[in-house]
Amino acid sequence: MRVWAALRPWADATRPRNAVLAALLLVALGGWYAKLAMALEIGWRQYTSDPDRYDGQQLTFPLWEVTGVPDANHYLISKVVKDVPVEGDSTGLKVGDTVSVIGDFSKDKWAVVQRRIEVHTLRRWKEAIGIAGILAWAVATPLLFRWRAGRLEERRG
Amino acid sequence: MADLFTHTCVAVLARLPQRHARWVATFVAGTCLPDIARVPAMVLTKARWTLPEIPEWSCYVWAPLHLPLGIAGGSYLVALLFPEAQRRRAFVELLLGGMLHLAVDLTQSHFGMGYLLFFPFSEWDFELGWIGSEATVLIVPWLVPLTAALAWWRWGRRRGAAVAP
Repeated sequence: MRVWAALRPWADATRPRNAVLAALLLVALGGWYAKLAMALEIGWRQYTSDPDRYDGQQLTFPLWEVTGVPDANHYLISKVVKDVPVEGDSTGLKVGDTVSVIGDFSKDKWAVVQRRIEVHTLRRWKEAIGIAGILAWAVATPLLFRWRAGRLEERRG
Repeated sequence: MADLFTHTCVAVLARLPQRHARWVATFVAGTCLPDIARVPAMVLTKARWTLPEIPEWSCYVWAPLHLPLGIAGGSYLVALLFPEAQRRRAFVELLLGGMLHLAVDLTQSHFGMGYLLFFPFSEWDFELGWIGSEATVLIVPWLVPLTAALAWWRWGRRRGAAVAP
């Protein structure tokens, strides 16, 4: 608490310094998260870098986009990694669909053998609503807030 | 994550007991910020498909802004834009809005990981899994007009009466 008080977190006099400190905290958090995410031994990249070790182990792909359907028993999914091959029934799947997949990595097939799939049929609607929400927010913000004397204020405040 | 309309409506509904609309906009802004902060990650993730030179880490660094400590940091940064006398209150409103956002998102279920609520102190992940990740699509069409009507009835009507001669 003494450190917090010494920082004078709400004072104008310390505002630039505190803004830099807060930004640095966020940068550090972001860097830490990225390091953690890229080191997780649960991803396609990790499995394919050491296929003998990970052969037969489970992979999970939440909310990935279908980016290819080469035949009725295979499809490709992408998110941070592009075109991960999946072996599984692709009947009804089309490019642009969003799916969540649980499967096992197969070294020999160089693919994820699907065990469970969920097709997110409303995902496009959700994305459209999401974009509309961001646009609505962009319109509403200047109506709800104003910039006065270099500071942000609620219009109704 | 739920969509911004759902988050906004839940935030407005949560403040309906309040007699006046003061600080509601800031509270609602707080509830929207975690998803606004995720837009760069979404854009970069898709951009990597055609521009593989974009480093993978650039897609991940935004994620903490959707987790408690990052929400607190982001709320504090935005609060610094407010006048000195309002800054503490603005921070509290933004932070509470952000926490409400997280609470709504926790009700969803996803394959794989939940939310790392104690990041960076723990990698324990959690979500309640009560509703599907697209369930809000079916709620939005009636939630938005209902919320708008209730907000007008609660705050807009009185405001109109206050300015009437």
